[in-house]
Order: sequence, then structure tokens, then C-alpha cells
Amino acid sequence: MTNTDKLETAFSEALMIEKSLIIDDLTYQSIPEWDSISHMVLISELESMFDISLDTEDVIDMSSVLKAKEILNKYDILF
Amino acid sequence: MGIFFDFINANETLKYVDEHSEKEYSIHDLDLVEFEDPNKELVFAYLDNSIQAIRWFWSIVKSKHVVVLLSENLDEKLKSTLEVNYLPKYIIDYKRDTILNYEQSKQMGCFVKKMHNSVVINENIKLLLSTSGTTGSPKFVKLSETNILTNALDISQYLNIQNTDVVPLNLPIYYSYGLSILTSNAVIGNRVVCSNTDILNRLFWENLDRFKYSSLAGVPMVYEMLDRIGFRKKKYPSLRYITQAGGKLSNELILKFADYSFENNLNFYVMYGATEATARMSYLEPSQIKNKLGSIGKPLKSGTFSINQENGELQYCGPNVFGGYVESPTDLDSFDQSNCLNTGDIAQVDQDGFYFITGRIKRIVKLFGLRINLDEIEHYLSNELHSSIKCIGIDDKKIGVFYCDVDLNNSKINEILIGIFKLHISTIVINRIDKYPVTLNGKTDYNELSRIIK
Repeated sequence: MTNTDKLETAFSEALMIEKSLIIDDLTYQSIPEWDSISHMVLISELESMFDISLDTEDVIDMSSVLKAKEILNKYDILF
Repeated sequence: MGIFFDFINANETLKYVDEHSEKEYSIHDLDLVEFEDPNKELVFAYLDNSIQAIRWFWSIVKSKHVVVLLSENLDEKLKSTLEVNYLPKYIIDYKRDTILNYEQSKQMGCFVKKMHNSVVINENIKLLLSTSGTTGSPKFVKLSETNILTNALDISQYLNIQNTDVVPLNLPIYYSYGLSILTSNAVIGNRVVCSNTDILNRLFWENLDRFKYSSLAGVPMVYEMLDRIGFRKKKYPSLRYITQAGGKLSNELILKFADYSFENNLNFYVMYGATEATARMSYLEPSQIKNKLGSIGKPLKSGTFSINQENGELQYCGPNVFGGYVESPTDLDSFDQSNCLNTGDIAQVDQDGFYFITGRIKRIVKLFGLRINLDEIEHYLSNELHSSIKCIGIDDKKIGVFYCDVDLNNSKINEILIGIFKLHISTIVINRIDKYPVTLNGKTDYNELSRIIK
């Protein structure tokens, strides 16, 4: 799986939405499916998918799909 | 106008703040909506925590009507089932443009029923709260103005709410704990920040600085989130106290937050309550939090606890105890003032008078602080799927679902639990088994089902 595939899988499983909806502009709480509970699931999905441990600050900063990619870049995960 | 609204009206220092515009409104500035009806009516209010929602809430409280607080995010199908069942005269819902058999009143800004028919509503009923926030159950708790006022006063007293406090509404007001934040601050507090921004939003933390929040409230899930986002690594000079209710927080997290609160001169309140008691029944004095780790503390000033000798069930008596359940409109004509509630929890009390919950009699699970009635879920699933379904709670973290029917599959069950009941897939565990275990007297053996999951 490419990193983009992994990211989309983590998002679609945590938010329970179709992969086609996962675009860079998608932001936290812009859809009912991305609420605080699914956000926490998303964080752990990303951590296990990429085998990383996200910093506390990153949990709040990850407020969009684009932001998620930028944050993952810091962990040497490139898109 | 009743006793509760009079009290709120009398707190002249209180301002409601719109988190976005930062504009402040006194109760008079809110320009409350006037209702002109000869009789007491039901008002369904699908509200969030915005300034507009708070305006509606106080408008209905001020009127002679009953406010039925509901989540605006309820599934439309559940909304219409409730409405067909209760035929409220007014509906406030910004999520829908049209509602069958209702017309929009441009003047009032809400939906008004076209038909003329009325139900008999007991004069004591002021507020109906759902027993579970998300399942759209037609079962409500009947509360009076006295219930709301006495609980608000007790809470404001033990939390020592000051007339300089600034509080964010950081839990939904259709949820009894969230509503209690509004009511207990409205009787004495200074600023209530009307906000839909949750703690995972950077804006929330910017607002904490900007408005200088005095307190935060959270169900166990919120404390897990606070822990994960590094709350305890920082300092918040304006915070005076934090509160926790809505289910048992793990002792590990209680200790972490207790240590933080001691170091930072904060009061950390672990509390216990139920919608049937308006919100709060007891709290643990912050100074005792480590000595009496895991305790629900002692009852409120106006309340008492006792333990049933036969089954160990905790009973609470006080002026905040509800007037019974409503399951259909015919239940609206009465209000039971017995003032005592069987909590459904099993408790023990130590030699110093501190209470500890040790088990549960009722079949409920608290997911993210919201109570889910397992029998209701079973009933709904069995009806929809035309097959017998069984549910159990797993450590207040998950719901376990069982089925026997070979024609069924997991995705049909998930579809309902996620689509209708808004559960998260990570909280659902589904098992197919050949047949349900039964106890000696022929009932479903739920203990055995729990063992299957483990």
C-alpha cells in the first residue's frame, strides 16, 4: 500500500466514510462523521497504520486531510 | 413566568457571550420569543449550544410551555417518529426546511402545528429530557421548575460558583450534565460562553485564553482526550475548577488529574448523577479525591443517599428527583412527587460516609457519557431485522451484539447502529452464535454472553 492508500484507509475506517470523500479540503467537524470521537479513532488508526506515535500538539493540529499529510511529513512519511 | 425563570431573571450580572462575535447579551438583550397560547403545550427544541439556541431555551422556559430538549443531529427518521408520537405544537429545528403537517412561522422563526388538538399536561412539568441522548427513544424524564432550580442552586453552592466566573458550555445542553452547567451558572455566574467548539479544536483553547474560562466539564471520554492532547503539560491561570461526571473515570486518570489539580491550585470535582435527578446527586470534595479514590462522594446539600438492604441498590432522595417517565402523551397528565429515585447502581458506603459504586442493576451502558439502554437497542434491532437480537455492555466502552439467524450479517446490524443510533464502529462488537444461553428460569443469560466476548 502507498502512503496515500494508507492515509485514505485510516480516514475512511475512522470516519466511516467513502474514500472518495477524503480530499485535502475535508476539515474537522465539517461533516457529522468527523466528530471528536472519530477524531480520536483516527489518531490511533494513523499511529498503527504508520507505526508512529503522534505528539500531543499534532492531535489538535490535525484539523484537515491536508494538515494530516503535513504533520505526517514531520515523521518522514511523504505523500 | 415560573420560579426558575424568576431566579434567572434576577441574576442581573449574567451575560451570554457569542463565542464568534464576542458580543455579550443580558437575558433582556436576547429578545426572547413570545408565545401566545391559552394552554400549556409541548415545544420540541432541537438545539445546539449557540447563542440562538440559548435564546430559544430561555424563551420556552419563560413561557408556560414544556421544553423538550433534543439533539439537532438526531436522525430525521427518529425525529419524525418522536413528532408523530407526541404531536408537539411547536418545533424548533434549523436542520430541516419543511416538516409534514407543520408550517413555518416567519414571525417566530419556528415550526407551528397546522392541526388543532391539545394534550393534557400536568402543571408541574417544565422540561422533558431524553433518557439517552442519541437513540431517539420516546422515553423522557419529566422535570419541574423546582427540580431544575434546586439542583442548580445545590450545584452552584458546592462548586462555589462566583459572580465573576466565566464558563463555556462545552457539553451539549440536551444532555443533563451539559444543561446543569448552564443552569447552575445562570443562577449566580457572570459570563456563559455559548459555544459549539469542542476541546479538540484549537479555537477552544484560544477561547479559553480570550474569555478566561473559570472551569471545564467533561465525561470520561473528554478526560481521555484531555490526557491525549497534553492538557496537563500546560497551565491555565484562569481555571479555578474542573468537573467530571457521566460515568466512571478510571482511577488512573483520576489520579493524574488530581495531581495536576493539586499542583496548579485547581479544584477537581468527581461527581455522580442521573437525568432522573435533573443532573447531580453527589460529588466528591476535591481535597478527598486521593483518600477516597473512586468514590462518588456524598450527596448534595438537599439530598440523601440510602442503600437498599436486600439488593444493595443505591437510593437517592431530594427535591431534584424527577416526576416520572413519559413514554406516550398520555403520561403527560401526571407528575409524581415522591422525591426518591432508585438509581439502578449498587453501592457501598464507608465508615466516613463516602459512597462507592460497585455494580449496576439496570441494563445500560454508558458510551461517551451517554446512556444507552440495552433493552431498547435489542428491541429496535429485533423489530427492524425481524429476528431476535441480544445486546450487552462491555465495560462502558463498547456494546456487544449477538444474533443467531444465518440470514443476517454483521453489516445489517452495523448499518442500524451507526446510521440510526450514531454509534461509532469502534464501539460495536458483533457475534453470531448458534443459540442464546439461558438461565435456569428460562431468561437470556447475559452473564454467559459477556463471557463469550471475553
